[in-house]
Amino acid sequence: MRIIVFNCGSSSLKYRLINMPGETELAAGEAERVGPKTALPGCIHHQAWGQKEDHTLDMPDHGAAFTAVMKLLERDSRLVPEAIGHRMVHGGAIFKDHVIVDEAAFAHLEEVQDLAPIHNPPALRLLAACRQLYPKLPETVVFDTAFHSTIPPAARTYALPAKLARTHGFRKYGFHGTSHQYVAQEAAELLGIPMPELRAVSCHLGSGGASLCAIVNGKSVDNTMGYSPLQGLVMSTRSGDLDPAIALGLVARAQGDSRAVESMLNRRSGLLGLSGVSADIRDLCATGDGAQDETMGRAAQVYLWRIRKYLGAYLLVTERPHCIIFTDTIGEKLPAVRWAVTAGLEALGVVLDPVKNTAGLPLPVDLAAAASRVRILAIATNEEVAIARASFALLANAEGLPS
Amino acid sequence: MNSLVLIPATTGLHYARVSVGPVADPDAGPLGAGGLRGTTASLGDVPAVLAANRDHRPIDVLTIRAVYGGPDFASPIIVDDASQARLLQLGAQAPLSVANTSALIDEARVAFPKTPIALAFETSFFVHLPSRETTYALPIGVGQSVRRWGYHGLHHDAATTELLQVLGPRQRPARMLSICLEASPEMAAVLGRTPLAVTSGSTPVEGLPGELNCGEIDPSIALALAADRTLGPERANQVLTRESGFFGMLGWPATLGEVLTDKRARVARVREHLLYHIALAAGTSLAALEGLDGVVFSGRYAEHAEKVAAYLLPRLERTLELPAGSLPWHVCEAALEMLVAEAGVSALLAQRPDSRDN
Repeated sequence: MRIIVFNCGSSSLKYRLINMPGETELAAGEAERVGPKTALPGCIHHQAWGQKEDHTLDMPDHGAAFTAVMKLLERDSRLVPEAIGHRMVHGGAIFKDHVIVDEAAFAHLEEVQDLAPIHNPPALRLLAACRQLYPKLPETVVFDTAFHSTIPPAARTYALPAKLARTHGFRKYGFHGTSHQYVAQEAAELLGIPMPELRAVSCHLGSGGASLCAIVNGKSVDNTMGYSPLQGLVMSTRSGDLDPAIALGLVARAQGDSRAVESMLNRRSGLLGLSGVSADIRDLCATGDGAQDETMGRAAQVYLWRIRKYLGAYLLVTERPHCIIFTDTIGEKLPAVRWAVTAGLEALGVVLDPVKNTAGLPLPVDLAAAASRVRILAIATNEEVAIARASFALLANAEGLPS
Repeated sequence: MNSLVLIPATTGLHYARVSVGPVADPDAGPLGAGGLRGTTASLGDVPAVLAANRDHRPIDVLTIRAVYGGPDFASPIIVDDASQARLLQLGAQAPLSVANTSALIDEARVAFPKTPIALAFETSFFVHLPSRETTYALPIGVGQSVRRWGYHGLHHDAATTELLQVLGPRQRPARMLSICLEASPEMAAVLGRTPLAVTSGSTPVEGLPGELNCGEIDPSIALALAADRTLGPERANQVLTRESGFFGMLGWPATLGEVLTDKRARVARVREHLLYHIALAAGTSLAALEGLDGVVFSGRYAEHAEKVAAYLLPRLERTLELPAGSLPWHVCEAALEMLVAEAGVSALLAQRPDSRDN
């Protein structure tokens, strides 16, 4: 079954056509500058059978981008999608698992779109366009939050007035679930451990967002992100954890403008805010001398310290995990980060091999020293394949086929 | 020596007459025996209370527990005009705490005009927390005015001092987990005499959930509450500091002691929440300390430490691959009044050893 996976950004549309169950990539690409006109025109970077091509065109909305992508694919009968898998960041409390889209599911999706105001609405608009233009093509929605639906009450509940929490839906949802689940499955296979028995700490360290996930018996039991992606680790432009009194103090200073503070905490804080010069840890780790470098070095220290603390917390929660998994841009490619957050944790059974760590070995790879009780894996995440897997499983199950 | 200890609280001003040190007044006795204690609305009432109890023994120092001392006060002090002025300069950082402390100094000068006044700061123990721990990831200029503190420094200081004695001489600094079981519980990771991490934040609202405070929450929640037209920032602050925690989750007021011991199912769920977050914080401390040599409990609910230990210790031992029951732990039973008094007397001895009002 050829499944096209859509990953919808606010002004972009990434896609990959994957043949399942073999997981072969048939085509891929990205539509850029989707939405109102900008200085440069919209463009689709398309790739199939090893051939790359760029198409310049206006795409006023995600429906237009989708139509253009489908036209590119339909030029070749071997690339016509048989199903669509959508990534949706937030499924709220309604969607504990991924779904095949029908009228009822669509109605519920409209209810949760405000939970992720940047990501959910464009994904929903794309989904609506797909349903209108290709009503017979089965569609699935795969939620980043679904993997975390197993987080137990003790971890997902905030110590807030119960009625207030219910009314506002304040609870930990967790994010990056698709990635955490994918790399956990890969780790289980690599270590020869059945997924239902895997205990792991997954570190999804992206160049933008980042989160850690505690996994027990193959299930998520905690995630550093919370009600929103703002909580937890220091990220490229997000503050991560913050005393709520500081957040309220900032609102007072902004004369009650909560949205301005929310924007500052999401877009101008984190590494960018601390360093004043870069939102990328790769820049900040490569510092020399001087006052500016001292600021950059301190920003890096705060970033690394927060990861290290959460790593310790989840090593305790998972109790002798089989492995720590590093993934996504920073986790996969930056040995200095892996080293800084695991150094000195021998008492917790964690010993990184310094040679393997810096050797640039192909992924997936075990970077732990022989003496390390906890294996330390670097695994390339592949959220599109994860979405295709989940979509294929849903559709096969619905048709009574083996998945 | 004798100290009249003053501890401001939301329910009034707690006072206690405490005898401490190598020249303790034998008639005053330990707190609770010969000592006098109570709660009043005004410090001006206390001389009358002492007189009514026919307690005319000298008070060497009047010691105020000050929650916040900022970076300037790394140890207890005897108040003079200069130090009070320095304290007032911290008003922008902790308006309520500084204003309360300063007002109490003024009252004390009237009620006990000849007695030296000492301040024992809860934050002193945490003045030298590493910057990687104190710093929030906020834009330059915004973040420089706030930092992480601990707010039960007197307990942590005393508890880890006791644990060091229990652990005995060591070749390397001891790695200790200090858990203060107060209404706003707090955990600190302490290496030798140096704290490396603490659960509280810029205010005591952050960190572990308490009797009234929410503890760690997603910052987006605070913003959502502030944006809620029925609340607004001030009311949101009230909700998070006075109506959340155990009270918010249960719907009725409950002490930390009750949450740790009550058998009702609803309380058990809150207990599970608290213990889980204590375990998370303990894990962060393991990473900060690169291991662990012992755990110490303190605070007014330290008598229930066993309930926490039963949950936490086995998890720590399994994580560290230690034999079951091998991780040393200790309960520090020192009352806050005693710790405040000791701080005041130490400040007095360092400055004016012979000063007495009577």
